[in-house]
Parts: sequence; structure tokens; C-alpha cells
Amino acid sequence: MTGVAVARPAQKRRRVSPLPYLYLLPSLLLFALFVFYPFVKTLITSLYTTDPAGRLVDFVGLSNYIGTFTSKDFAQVMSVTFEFAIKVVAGSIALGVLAAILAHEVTHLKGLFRTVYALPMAVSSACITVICVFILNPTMGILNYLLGTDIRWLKDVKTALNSVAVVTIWMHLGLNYIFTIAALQNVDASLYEAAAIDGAGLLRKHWHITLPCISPTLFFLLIVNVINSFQSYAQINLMTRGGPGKCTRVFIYQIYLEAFVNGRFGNACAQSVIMFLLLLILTLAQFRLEKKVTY
Amino acid sequence: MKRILALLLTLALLTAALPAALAETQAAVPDGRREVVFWHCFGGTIGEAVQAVVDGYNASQSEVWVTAIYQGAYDDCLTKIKAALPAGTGPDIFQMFELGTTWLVGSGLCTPFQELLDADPYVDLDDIEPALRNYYTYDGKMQCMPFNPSTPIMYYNKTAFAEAGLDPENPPRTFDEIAALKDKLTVVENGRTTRYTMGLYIYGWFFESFLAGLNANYVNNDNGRTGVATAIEYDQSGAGAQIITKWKQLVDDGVIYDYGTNGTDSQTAFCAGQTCMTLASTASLTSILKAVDGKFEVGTAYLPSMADEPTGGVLIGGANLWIPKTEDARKQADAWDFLKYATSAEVSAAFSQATGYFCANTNAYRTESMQAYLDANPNFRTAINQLHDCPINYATQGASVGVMAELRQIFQSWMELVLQDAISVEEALEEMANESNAAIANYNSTVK
Repeated sequence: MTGVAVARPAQKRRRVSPLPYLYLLPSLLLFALFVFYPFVKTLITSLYTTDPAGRLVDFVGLSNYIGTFTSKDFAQVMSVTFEFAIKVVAGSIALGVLAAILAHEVTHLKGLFRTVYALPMAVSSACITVICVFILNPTMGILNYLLGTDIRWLKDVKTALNSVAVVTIWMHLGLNYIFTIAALQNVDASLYEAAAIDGAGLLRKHWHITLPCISPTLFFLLIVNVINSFQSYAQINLMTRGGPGKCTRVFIYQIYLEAFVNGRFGNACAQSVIMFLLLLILTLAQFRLEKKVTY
Repeated sequence: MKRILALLLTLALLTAALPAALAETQAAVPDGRREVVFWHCFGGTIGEAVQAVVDGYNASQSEVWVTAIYQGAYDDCLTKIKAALPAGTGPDIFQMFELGTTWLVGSGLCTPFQELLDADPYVDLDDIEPALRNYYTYDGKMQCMPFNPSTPIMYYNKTAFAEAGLDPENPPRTFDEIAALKDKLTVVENGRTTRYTMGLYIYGWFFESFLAGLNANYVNNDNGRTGVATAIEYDQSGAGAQIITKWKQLVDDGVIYDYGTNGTDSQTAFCAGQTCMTLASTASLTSILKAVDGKFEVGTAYLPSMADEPTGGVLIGGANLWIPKTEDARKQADAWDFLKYATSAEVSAAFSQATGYFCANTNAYRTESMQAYLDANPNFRTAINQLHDCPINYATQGASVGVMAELRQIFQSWMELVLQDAISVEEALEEMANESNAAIANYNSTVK
């Protein structure tokens, strides 16, 4: 990333050793078993209809894909998915960075703050969700009690998606925080000194120095967060089951329903492939962007 | 040299770890015993009760050893059975909830219970609860033996009833009667309602039970009992509209507090005294009593009716024991031996007391332990009486359709929108019919 080309001394051509490949073998085997094989199988299944036992029945070509794109739910599910992802990614990165900068600024009890903010990462999403379901309970939840309100957080069409998004933001916060705080350590202190001499305030200092300096990390976080939020399943399943109606039914939950409730594995596989392509395109687009924006 | 050594070590560790990991998942079968693998769907307290049945069996004889494996909740279990049975990698005996029945019968992969019973009549067919026998009889044969049958019942707060000047021994039998109690049971403090007359959540099983109460079928062709079901019927018969309209009216009027699709929320609110009545499975009785912990007196009553008069119709839930077909006659005989033990009078009486499920084998009620238990805990009687009073017809036999889980999901998601005024009752019924009928057609086309 420094852009400085280092001239390498001419190397003697060496015989290619088989050892590196042997080292790769165990992980390749595991990948083949748990990633490549299922992926190929998914591709094949997506071209068939299946019986309730998941066995292939008829070859139908691309009709599972066409069926997905033309189904009347597709537009709604996609808009829910994107709305959810945008809110979660924006919220969790912004708050993660903010928390990291604050923790970086404090001089006392640094270790304590660092640990506290990173804690959400250590709790499983299922645990967080179960606790939040209690907090958001409309009649017994502590949130309504403290606010003195009667809001049906997870059961109202207007608030359900936002409630799940807020919980998800909190879940993703820890990861963003950890990476940002690590990146902050690497910002050259002389830049801050120069800024201080020039009379820059706290906001200006971070806006003009910190953010550009940690931008490679931010882009990495953007990619990981987009993928994570598109794959949010546990909290949806445990908090709203995609409801009320279909207003929190994100794409990944739709795939789950199609496969494991409705037993249409062919359709579900086609949707998984669509999901994969979607994430691939988003990730590639972000890489393009990264080359242009990061310093 | 070091590198090769490291590589070898890695490989050795990997290969050593595999069999160890595999071995750990299987409890040791004592020498000289034939193993029977039993898949079940219960964790938690009920899972412990299941394990107690298995342990009791293993201690009762020295030939067979049953290994009980928890395979996740009902839906997960169904998914796994659907994958394992056709592949021949399934268990020797398993538990399956009622929504899996049509698929299992259609698959022909299990030996009907009645065939095994005819060969070895350990219980008189007439001693099996008639409603259950009727519910699980397909093609003239009882297909499986109910292990933990249940029905939905109403739970109510007797203390709140007494305080409001109502007769705690005379709970309402219809939803109209419940609506009439609103002024007496609702508590408002500082403009906030802190106690509702009733708390309810949207659960397909309740809707199906209300339909049965109206003597209306869920799907056509007599609920799929006289021919393959091709479409839902509740949208056409008017019964669906009647139930949904009344349900919505009760929510709009503030009689029922709607907990969405979350059964836990609904149950916790009742146990905390925030709602005076709620609906839940009979199997929730033990956990509700535990959660209430004497804070108030809990009563149980028949499922209230959506009709003007109480009808008594109700829909059965819970799970059954199935034995797969196999070439290995010895294996099947061993599995059968365990089934006989698990559903014998004494054992099912003990299981019922531990959980709140009722007994399919009615001899269980004649055991001394059960007699004494029912006398001490009259709440347990409600479910049994409700089942006995249930008329037997196609409506109460329940829908026989292979995609019942999906139909339930469809109903629930549209019902949520109806209760929030996001869609009218008529539109919702139309959407329910479109989606349900498409799912049934798709299923029928893939099962050949």
C-alpha cells in the first residue's frame, strides 16, 4: 500500500518443493468437505425440484431462479434486507469507531474501557437475542417500564425492523471497536503533534487525521459488516420470526423458511446462489471503491 | 527434518482426533446387549423425563440397551427424519410430532403401529384413548402410538377471578363470555393498562383448534381423510372469516392483548399476573405452576369456543412413537419392546405426572399413583376430560396434508397483519388461500 517498488535481487530458479502443498492439504481437505462439496451440491440442487426428503425429482433448469425473481415476495424481501443491512452497517461502524476513539482518548482506566466495549463480541448472538426479547417485552420489558411507554417493539409493523436492527448493531459493535482501536495504535503520533501545533481541535484532529489514517481498516470493516448483516439469522429467528407479517423477513430467513419449513430445497438452493452472487458483487464493488478512496 | 516431523504430527493429531470425536457422541453400550437407537425431540425438564423413561427401561431388563439421542425441537426432528429415513440412516425408533404424520404415512417407511400390536397385543386397542386412536388412524390402521399427547387448554388466574367477584370455579366457555369480563378483570393504573383480561399469541394450532370447535375442516376432501387434499377449505366455508373477525374484534376492544407470534411472552405475562387468562398446551402446566410459584391460584379450563355456544371440539397435538420398517426383525422386535415399556400404564402415568402430557394408554389412569396424583392436582384432569368430551369427526381429526408446517406459517404471518390493521380480513383470507393452495399443489406434484 506504500506504493514504493522494491527492486528484488535476481533469484535463482529453484525446484518447486511439494512441501507447501502438503501443508495446505489438511485445510484443503476440510474446505473441500465443508465448503466446495456443499457449494457444488447447492448449484446442482438449485436446478431441480425436490421432494420433501430433499431428493431431486425433476430437472427444471433455471426455473427456480426465475421463480424467485418473479415471486411477489421477492421485492419486499429484498427491500427489507437492504434496509436492514444499511441501518446495521452504518450504525455499528459509526458507533464502533466513536467508542474506539473515545476509549483511545481516555487516559485513566484504559484497560477497563477497552474490555467493556469489546464485550458484546464475547456473547453469542442467541444469548444477546434472548435477553433483548425480555428487555423489549411489551408488557413486562424493562425498556417500556423505564420509558413509561406502551410500545410493542417487536410486534408492531412500524418498530419491529428498527428494534432488531438496534440489537444487531450492538452485537456487531464489539468487532468494529476492536479493529478500530487496533488501527488507532498505528496512527503516527507525529501527525497529531503537527496538528496540535497548527491549533487543530479534537473534532478536526480526528476528522482530518484519524479517519484517513484508519481508512483501510474501515473498508475491511465495511466488507465484513455488509456480509455479516446480510447473514443475520439468529436474531431474526428468535425475535420476530420474520414478522409481523413479512416486515422483518430478510433474504437469509426466507431461504431458511423455504428449505426447512416448506421443504422446497431446490428453491432454497437457488436463493442461496442468488445470495452468494449478491454478496460477491457487493464485495467486488467495495474493493473497487477502496482503491479509489483509501489513502 | 523438523518440518516433516511437524507435518506428520499434524496428520497424526487429525486422524487421532476423528475417531475420538465420533466415539464421544455414542454412549457405551454394555457388553452383550443389543442396541436400539431412539431419537426424541425434548431438551430441558421434559427431556429429563424422557431420559428417565429410557433409564428405567435399560434397568428393567438385560438384553436390550436403548440409546436416547436428542435431535432438536419438533421441526428440526422432522427435517432430520425426512433426510435420514429414506437414506436408511435413521434410528430404530423415534418420536415425531403430529404435523409429520401425513408425510410419514405417505412415505411408507414405517411399520404401522396396529400391525405390530396385532402380533403382540400388550394393550387392548379399546383402552387407547378413542380421540387419539381416531386422530392417528389412516387407511383403517392406527399408524403410531402417542407418547406425549396434548391439547390446548385455557389457563386462568383464580385469585384474580375471586377478587373481581367472579366465580373462580366457573370459567368462561366462549370468547363472548370472556369479552363480557373485560370491565371486571382489566386493571388500569395512571392511564396504563397493567392487567389485561386475556393474553394470546398467534399460533396456528389455536386457529386449527378453533376451526375444529366450529366443526369446520381445514382442507378439502374431508380434511384430506377421504382423498388427497388439494386446497384449504376454511376460506370458503366462512369459518376462517368468523374466527379471524372475532379474534381481531377482541384485540381491538382491548379484551385480548396480542403477543404476536411469541408464545413465551404470552406465557410469562400470564405467570406474572399481567393477563388473567391465556391459552397454552396441556404440557405447559408443570412449567406454568413452577413459574407462578404460588403467587396466585392457577385454574385450567376447556379451550373457549369462537361459536355462540361451547362446542367441545379441540385439536390434538404432541408427538408419537414410530418404528421404521427394517429387514432386521430382531432390531424391530427390540424397538417394539421399548415402545411397549414406554407406553405401559405405569410408565406413562409417571411421565404424565412429570410433564402434564396426558396418557394414550387409558390403563394409566387406573394406576394408584395416577389416581392419587389427579386427586391432589385437579388441574391435570381438565385436559383428560376435554379430550373425552371431544366429538369425533373429520374436523377434530385434524388436517391430513403434507405441508401443514408451511400452512401454519402462512396463516400466522397474515394473521399478524390483520391484527395490526395492515390488511383486511377478506384480503388476508385471499392471500392465505393463494399461498396455501400453491404450497399444496407444489407438494402434490413432487410426491409421486
